[in-house]
Amino acid sequence: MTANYLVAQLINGLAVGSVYALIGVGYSMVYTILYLINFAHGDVIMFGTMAALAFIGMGVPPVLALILGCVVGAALGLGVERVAYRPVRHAPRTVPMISALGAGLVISSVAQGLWGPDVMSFPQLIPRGTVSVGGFSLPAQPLVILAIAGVLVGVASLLLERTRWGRATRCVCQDLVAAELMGIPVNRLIPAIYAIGGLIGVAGCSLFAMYFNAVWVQMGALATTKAWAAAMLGGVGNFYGAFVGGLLLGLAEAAAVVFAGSLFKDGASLVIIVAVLLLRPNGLFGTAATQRS
Amino acid sequence: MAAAAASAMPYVGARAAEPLLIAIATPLTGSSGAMGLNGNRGAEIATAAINAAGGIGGRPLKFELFDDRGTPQDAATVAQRIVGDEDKYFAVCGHVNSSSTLAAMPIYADAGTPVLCPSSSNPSITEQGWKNFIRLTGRDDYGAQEYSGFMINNLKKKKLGIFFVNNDFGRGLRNEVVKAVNVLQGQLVAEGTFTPNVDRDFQPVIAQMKAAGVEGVMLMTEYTEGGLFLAQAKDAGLTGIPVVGPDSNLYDKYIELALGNAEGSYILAAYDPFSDSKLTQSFLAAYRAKYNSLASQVAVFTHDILWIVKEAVEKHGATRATLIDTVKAMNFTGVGGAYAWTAKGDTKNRTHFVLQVKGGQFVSTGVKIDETGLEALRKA
Amino acid sequence: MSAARAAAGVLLFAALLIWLPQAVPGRYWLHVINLSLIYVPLAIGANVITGYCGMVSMGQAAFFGIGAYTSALLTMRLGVPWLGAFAASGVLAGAAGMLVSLPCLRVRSDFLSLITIAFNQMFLVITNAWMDLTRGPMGLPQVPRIALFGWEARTEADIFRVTGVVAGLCAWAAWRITSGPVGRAWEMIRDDEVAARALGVDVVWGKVRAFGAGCFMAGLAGSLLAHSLRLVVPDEFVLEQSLIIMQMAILGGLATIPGSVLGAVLMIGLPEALRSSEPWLMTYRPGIFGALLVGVMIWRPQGLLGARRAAPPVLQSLSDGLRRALRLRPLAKVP
Repeated sequence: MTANYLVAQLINGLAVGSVYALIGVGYSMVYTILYLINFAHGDVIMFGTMAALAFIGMGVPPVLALILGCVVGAALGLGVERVAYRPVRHAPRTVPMISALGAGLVISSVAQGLWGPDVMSFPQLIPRGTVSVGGFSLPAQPLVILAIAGVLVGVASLLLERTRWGRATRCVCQDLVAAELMGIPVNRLIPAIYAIGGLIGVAGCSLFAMYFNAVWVQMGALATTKAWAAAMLGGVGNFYGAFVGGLLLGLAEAAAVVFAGSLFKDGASLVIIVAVLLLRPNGLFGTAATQRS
Repeated sequence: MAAAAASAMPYVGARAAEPLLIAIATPLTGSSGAMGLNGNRGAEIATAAINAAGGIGGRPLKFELFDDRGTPQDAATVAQRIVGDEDKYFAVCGHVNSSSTLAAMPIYADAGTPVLCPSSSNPSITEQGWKNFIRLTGRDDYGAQEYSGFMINNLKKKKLGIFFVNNDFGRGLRNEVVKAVNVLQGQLVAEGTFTPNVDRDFQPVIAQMKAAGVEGVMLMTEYTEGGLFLAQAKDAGLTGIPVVGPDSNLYDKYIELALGNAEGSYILAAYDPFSDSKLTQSFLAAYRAKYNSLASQVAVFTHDILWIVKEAVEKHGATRATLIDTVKAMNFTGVGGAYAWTAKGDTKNRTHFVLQVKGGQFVSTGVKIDETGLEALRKA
Repeated sequence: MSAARAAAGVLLFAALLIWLPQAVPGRYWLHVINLSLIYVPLAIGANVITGYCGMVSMGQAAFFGIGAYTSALLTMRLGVPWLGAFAASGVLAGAAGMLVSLPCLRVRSDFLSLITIAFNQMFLVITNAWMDLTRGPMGLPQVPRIALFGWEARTEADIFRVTGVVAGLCAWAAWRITSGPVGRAWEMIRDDEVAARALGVDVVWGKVRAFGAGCFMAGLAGSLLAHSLRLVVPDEFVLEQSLIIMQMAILGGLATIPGSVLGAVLMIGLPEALRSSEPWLMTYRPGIFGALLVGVMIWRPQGLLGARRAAPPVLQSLSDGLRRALRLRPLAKVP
């Protein structure tokens, strides 16, 4: 195992991880506030990414198409909140979980009807090739993806820290009931959070599609699982936790391949997550303020 | 022609106008949905042409689709549905996934329904003793031997890496490639696998292969992952070494997804899309005109199955009960070339055609696979 | 329940077993019924874990698979008669369930779900990789038929009788256990762990037992699947299956046994009823089904046969009191 090999795996893990991070952040926001396992998240962002591809196919300039795709993702997120979450928000938690599952099925079914079951290639907006960094020859694309993900999360965290709206969101994330008591318009904020989750998620999913040059209807289920794992690993009650969780998940997968073999990639990374959770039941950075006994 | 057909088969006379129904059991949703779609398209072209030529024995041909979702449970349920309707269906064309076929066959065998299979390649299917089954696709063990022979004997590369899809198709191929490479005195220095339709990140495996210094890659995948692998390999600098894969990679998407790195890779196909045969060329042209893509293996074999049924009924007077035995005795030439069958239902005497990607297209090389050393594996 | 009513119930059930196969039009629908009956113990097991004990398990397919592989391997490799293999499947799956539940006890319920998913994934990785035992993705074909004392289940009607009896026994056993003290303890654990502990309920043992019981039934179902489908491949036990099993329990109604039976029948039967050769229907079948799910959850969040339950008054006030004493937030009231 040469140093170059290990560094290449490291960079690769980080790139995949940053995609997972973006997908996980959107998921984590909904989960943190509502303790709701949003099974529709992956299908929503898949749909937004495929919409972006469709816009590009219609001749829309790529960057605009991606933005439009994010908007579609946000709108769909709003739709899921309205149809599959709000009517059942007072029911035991298993109910919105199932209705989200159902919503996900509807979305993926429509996607298959619109675009077919085949895998489609995604335009390569980020140049491929290698760069020389400190004596190592590294693939350029993962580095660019890492940078983009960092910028996106940086912007999001600025919004969270510096704006009133951001502060309101953080209050809601910490304690829903208290936020309501303080007069925060929770009913308007929750749909907004679903929408933001969809938006960031589509960005992540598009980067995934570009990196692997593949977008397909079934990727929604995959995205949901990774998002959830990232969010769990990072911890509940912490927006940045999901970002770090996603990066770590990507690294864990790369490590699994290096040390255990490609067959065990999925299984090994899950084992790592379970081990972490057993040691730190609230995830790595979780605070779980509302559940402290 | 209709009159001649009618007089050759008196039982059909009174019911001449009643459609002859074929049940096509195939995955239309789920992860194998693309294969089902291709098979469906091949069937549509065949049906249109057959009906334009007077149908089968004067009866219009009609097919009905049954979605088995690519899972064994659904395959069994679909089989029950098909045989439950007594003799409504003249024959079954299906299934695609080997495990679906394995699950459904006992039900068809029980009911005596003839099954013609376009795409299940697991060797164990024809080892179960079912008498009502034939298939057009080659067996994985034979295929694996061909691919290994080509890489080691023709291309003279001995230090190999194998990348295979972790399902019965890929793993079956991998096991047979290991045996063949052993016999041919090659060396497998790197192995990588992935979960189909889930794993799309192959960089770790590529890095491993690069570090192990492979001279050639055996690409035992479907076209999606095959193409993606090559694109990612290009990024990682694993280029310039020969790649050999089966015809599951033979599809436009393979070249498209590979982003230029498919150039020079070899596909060993069970059928020759570049054969001079007018039949092949007109089918491929019709397919491309209608669906704007190269017809994949499933499409070709599904198409041929319908024509086989037509010939069996019209030229050899086959009935539902005698269909499989009739076909086993036939020599048939279709889009996929010439077929003949063994008693177990496998095709025999079919060679693999060596295709290559040149200038962004699949072209025929006309090279013959050097099979030296493989006889040791074929004694059985 | 009086002895006379019990006897009448048994007779009615036996009559149903004998008469139903003739009444059903065609083997296809009988096959669908058989498949539903195989899933009934799975749904009941999931209901015991989730509905009665409050833990969301998303890995039941793994225990389904453990049962299937155990049964197939015992009969094929060791020549064990089916009945023994059947029992062993349940025991092994139940034991596995108890083992898996142990680490879950200290973590929050959502992390428990993640652990069950992780277990499911690990099961798939192991069955796909352990070629010597399971033949990996190529699976175990030609699994022997269900055989009892010389009689073999050859037709769908035969299979129906076996699956009917097993489903009936599981339902009856689950009903007895859940309406007894064990079930009460489970419900207390579900409603308020703190209060349950205060009342002397052994929470840890209760949860482990619930998992054991639920996975035991999953294992039995696995044996039935293996010997009726006569093929065992890892693909039959993917995560999607776990989600379907969970949906059966929730759709039918948590904490109600008849609900699980209905859930199993609906989740298997509805997609079959929607099966058609119309192209558009085929593509959108999953979506239509998804829309139905959403609709049912909105219309009847407690599940089709579930009751809108509130904790019994004694428990409720005890719970409130304790929480006030410990300066905890009171639990939200169930509407």
